[in-house]
Amino acid sequence: MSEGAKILVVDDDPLIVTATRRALETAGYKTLPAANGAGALETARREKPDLILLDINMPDMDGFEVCRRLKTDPELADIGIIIISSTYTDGENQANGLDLGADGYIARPISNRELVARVQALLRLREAERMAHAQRLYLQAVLDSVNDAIFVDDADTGQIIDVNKRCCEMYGYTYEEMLRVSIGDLSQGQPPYSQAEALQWLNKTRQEGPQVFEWLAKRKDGSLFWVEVGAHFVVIGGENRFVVAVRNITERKRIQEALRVSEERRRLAMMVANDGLWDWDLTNNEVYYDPRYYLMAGYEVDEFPHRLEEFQQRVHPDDLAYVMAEAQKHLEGQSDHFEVEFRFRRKNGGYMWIRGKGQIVARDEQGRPLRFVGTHSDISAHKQVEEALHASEERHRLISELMSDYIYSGLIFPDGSVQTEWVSGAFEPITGYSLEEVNQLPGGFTSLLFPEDLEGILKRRPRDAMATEYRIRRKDGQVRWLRDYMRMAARGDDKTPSRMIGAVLDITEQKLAEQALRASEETYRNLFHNAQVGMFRTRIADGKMLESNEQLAHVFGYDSREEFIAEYVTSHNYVDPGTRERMLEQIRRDGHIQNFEARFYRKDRSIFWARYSARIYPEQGWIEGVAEDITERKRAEEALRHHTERQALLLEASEALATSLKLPDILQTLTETAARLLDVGSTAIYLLEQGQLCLGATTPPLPPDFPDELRCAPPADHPHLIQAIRTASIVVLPDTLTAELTPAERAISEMRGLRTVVYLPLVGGEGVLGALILGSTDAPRTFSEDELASGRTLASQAALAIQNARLYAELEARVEERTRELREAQEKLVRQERLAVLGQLAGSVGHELRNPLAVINNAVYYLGLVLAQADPKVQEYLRTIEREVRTADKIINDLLDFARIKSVEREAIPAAELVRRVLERYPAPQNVRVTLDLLPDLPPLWVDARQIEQVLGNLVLNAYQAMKDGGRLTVDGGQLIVEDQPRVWIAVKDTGVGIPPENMGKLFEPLFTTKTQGIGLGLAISKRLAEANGGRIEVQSEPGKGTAFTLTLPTTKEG
Amino acid sequence: MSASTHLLIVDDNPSMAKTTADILALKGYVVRISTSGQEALDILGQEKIHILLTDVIMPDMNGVELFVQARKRHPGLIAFLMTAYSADDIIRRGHLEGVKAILTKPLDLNLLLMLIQAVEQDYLRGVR
Repeated sequence: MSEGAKILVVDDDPLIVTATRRALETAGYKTLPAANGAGALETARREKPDLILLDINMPDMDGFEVCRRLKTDPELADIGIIIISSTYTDGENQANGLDLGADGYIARPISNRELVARVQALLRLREAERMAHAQRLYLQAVLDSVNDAIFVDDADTGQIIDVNKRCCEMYGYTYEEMLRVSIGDLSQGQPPYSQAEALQWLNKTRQEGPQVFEWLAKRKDGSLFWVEVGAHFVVIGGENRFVVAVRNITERKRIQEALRVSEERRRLAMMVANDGLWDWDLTNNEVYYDPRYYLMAGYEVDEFPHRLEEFQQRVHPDDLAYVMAEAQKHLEGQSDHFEVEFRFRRKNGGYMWIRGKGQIVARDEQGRPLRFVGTHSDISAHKQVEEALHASEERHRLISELMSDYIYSGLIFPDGSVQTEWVSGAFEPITGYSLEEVNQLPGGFTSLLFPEDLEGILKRRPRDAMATEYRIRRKDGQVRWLRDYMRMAARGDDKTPSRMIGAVLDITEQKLAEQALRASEETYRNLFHNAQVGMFRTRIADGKMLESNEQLAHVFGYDSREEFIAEYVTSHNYVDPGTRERMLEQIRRDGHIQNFEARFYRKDRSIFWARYSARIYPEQGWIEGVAEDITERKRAEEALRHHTERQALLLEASEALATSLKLPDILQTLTETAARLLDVGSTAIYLLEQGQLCLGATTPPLPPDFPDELRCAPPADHPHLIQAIRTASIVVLPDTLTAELTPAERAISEMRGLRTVVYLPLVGGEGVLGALILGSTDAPRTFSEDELASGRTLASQAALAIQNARLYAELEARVEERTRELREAQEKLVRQERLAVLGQLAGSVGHELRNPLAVINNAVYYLGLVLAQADPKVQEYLRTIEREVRTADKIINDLLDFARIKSVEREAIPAAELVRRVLERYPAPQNVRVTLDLLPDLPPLWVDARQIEQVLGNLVLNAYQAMKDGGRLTVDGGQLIVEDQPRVWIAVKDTGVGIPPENMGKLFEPLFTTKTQGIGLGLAISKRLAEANGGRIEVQSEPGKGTAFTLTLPTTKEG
Repeated sequence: MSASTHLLIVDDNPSMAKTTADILALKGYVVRISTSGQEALDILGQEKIHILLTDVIMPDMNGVELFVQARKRHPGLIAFLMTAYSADDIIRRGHLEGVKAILTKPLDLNLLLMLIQAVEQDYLRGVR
């Protein structure tokens, strides 16, 4: 621009003017002449020269005055001035001129060549200055028009050395203040947003290159706001600098947060979508669907039957196979969890998305599943949101990839058309056009704007700076929202274009988010007030209800939400102390709670179960959530739980019953189980035994002083019990206090504290066995159908168990009897065998002994003969030997008798005759009295008389020996029938010492004796002889009182 | 007692035979003894014997066999059996063969003497 510059030469000396102009024009400059100050000002105003060579010494006004006037005129201030003086060459004048704004000072005389060189240098300098100034202005304008705050920091000291205007606005400081604050002053101050972390970021920038991060910034007034920081490290003129761009993203954050909160609210609202309960009986494919199940899918309760097929018909055909396969997998134990998502046909024909979960709750003994219970949740809304969210995330990703701002400068022509002069790099990604392409469009950039948006902008009064928002249509047809911070750089007039510069942000994402937020908030508002679930907002501090919908107000028993909000404070209305504290602890810890269950008071102080999910907003000081009344469900769950518990108990009881066969144990188990099963204070079992009602067992046990007449009583004492038994059906006595009772019933119910009494008949295969009685103690109560059904089940199990136990007892008795018989037979066999061996031995020993005995006997006889006159002492010894030989012989005879019962030679002989013979042969000692008491007319015995004589003789001798100190012997007899045969019995009784009980069993065993004489064969032989004659011997004895042997024998009347 | 009664006592136990013989000798009878059936038959073949008092169970032959064989040559021979055993079938056979008495051991010697006297009165009066 220095070439061809316009130079005004001002001097009152025309010669100097002419000479100077020639020299300058030779050098290639255009020149203008002025002869005085006024002319100079006029020409300068008209021609706008680049430089004025100004003479000081002029007649009208001196050069200093001209200079002052030029510099104070805004339009002329930029013109360079060189003051030329020939007279005032002192330093003061020179300084005066420069003070007034002159750019140079030349003192004459000066050669033309030097003048030109000075002019050239000055013009170059001015040009450079002008360029630098323009650039600074330009940069300043750009920086000031950018919406971001820009810092330039000294990288070595951290000192802020420059900021833009936006920066001052953003942080609320003046420019000068900005240069004094530290980075820490501009930050929130707490980690992770303190000076230390900021310096770390900058350090990272220095070492690793540009960094972008989010930061919590602080204004001068202390308020906080979110920014996004972009930091660069650059070396400018040898100085290390950070250039930091800071963008306020509070709005973005707010919208993001609002959107997130709004999404959460919506999710909360959907979370309470009521689950439907199902209960599949695998034995018959009946499925119980609870009322909610029907309502969820738009059906009336119980509109379709409780069958599996009904469910299958409503599952989307494409999903059915998958759902049933998953169920099968779970039932076969191939999967631990059952969870499926499928489409289910609503009543209106549309499909809803269901999430189904379930588990096996009952199995049979083989472990096969019996019942499969679970829930179906409506997740349609969730599915939709999921899809929408997915799409929105995709969009977000794309936008973020593309988004970046651009800056531009352009010209607006008077006709409104726009020519874009320059754009930064992000222009093309945002608009899809290159600069050339956009300028070739008719109307230029403005043609991209939506006409209505453009119209709106044009209607606005143009200002130096303004922010506008508009939509453009990209080259590919996409619509973009842009925010344009524009600034007028140079205003044109009717003919000249205005220049403007601006920074453009792509705010499409923000706009979309705002729209989504608006839509979401709208949805939320609708949901809030129209939802079938209760929604609330309460104050954290005290649980005061801040907001609610009508639905929730009704749940809490209020007619209107206004009244509810005005009156209700939840902290006063938790039924269970500590629940709210527990809830708060959880929600503060996790930020939210899900499906929290608690009991509340309604307006009328009635109690209900609520389930709610909520989220805490600590900064707002409130909790928001959704709630529903789950009292019914709780009740149903409770009932189900009770039912399941009862089933488990019944199972347990039946196992216990099956493992025991002892009737007392079984009865005790039954009463205990019944008490637990139906939660009653007193239970009892009465059994019918021989026309009487007898207590089998009770829980709790009877006190020891419980009267016997109440333990077993005639049926008339228990009319209620008997009614249950006769009709084989349950009898319920609602309250003993008001019922008519027999004295026995009254006595029992008072002793046991019974109020409501239930009589459950024990119906077995062979009729009613008795009854199981349940009694509530302390207070009357009602029994549900389900409870009575459980009781009935237990009673039928009980009847079965009792029958089994009785059968078992009978079998056991039979087995015992049979075992005893077998044992006896075996013992008899053993005894006989032993006796046979003994007999053989005794026989041979006996015989062999007889030979030496015979010799001794002979020898003694001989000696007796030859020593007839011998010493009396010798005679006595001979007699002793003789006697002992006889005793030995008797023993041998006994042995031989025992060893070999001689054949029985029967004859008819009266019992009295036999007794007489015996008593004759064995007369009673002096001190024994004999009583004979045989009935007359007894039929004659049909026996071997000698053998029976031997038996009776044995018995009589034994009796005498038992009465060493005297006594009475009684022999009596009579007649009786044994196994249809007439028999005669003869009893030999003594009043002797008796037989100790421990000896009774061994009495008839051979070689058993308590006597010093004999070898214990007497009774054994007697028994064998009696049995050989078809009779038997029995004994009864009492130690110290005496013994009676009874011999029973066949008679001639025998058939 | 010139016309005294002759007895033969047979028992495989010599003491039994001897003591019985001594008692009977002391009572005035003529007594021979033998300890085997064969020896007894020899004695019977050589001497006059009125009464044979024999044990039943003996090693070479039993008392009944001895009586049966002896009677072939001495048809009027009177026999008494002595037994320590209950050999019922032998005794029964003895009854059938005409044995006059069966005595169990140890002997009731008074009974034996009575039996001998009875035999002397009933059978031997004419025989001797």
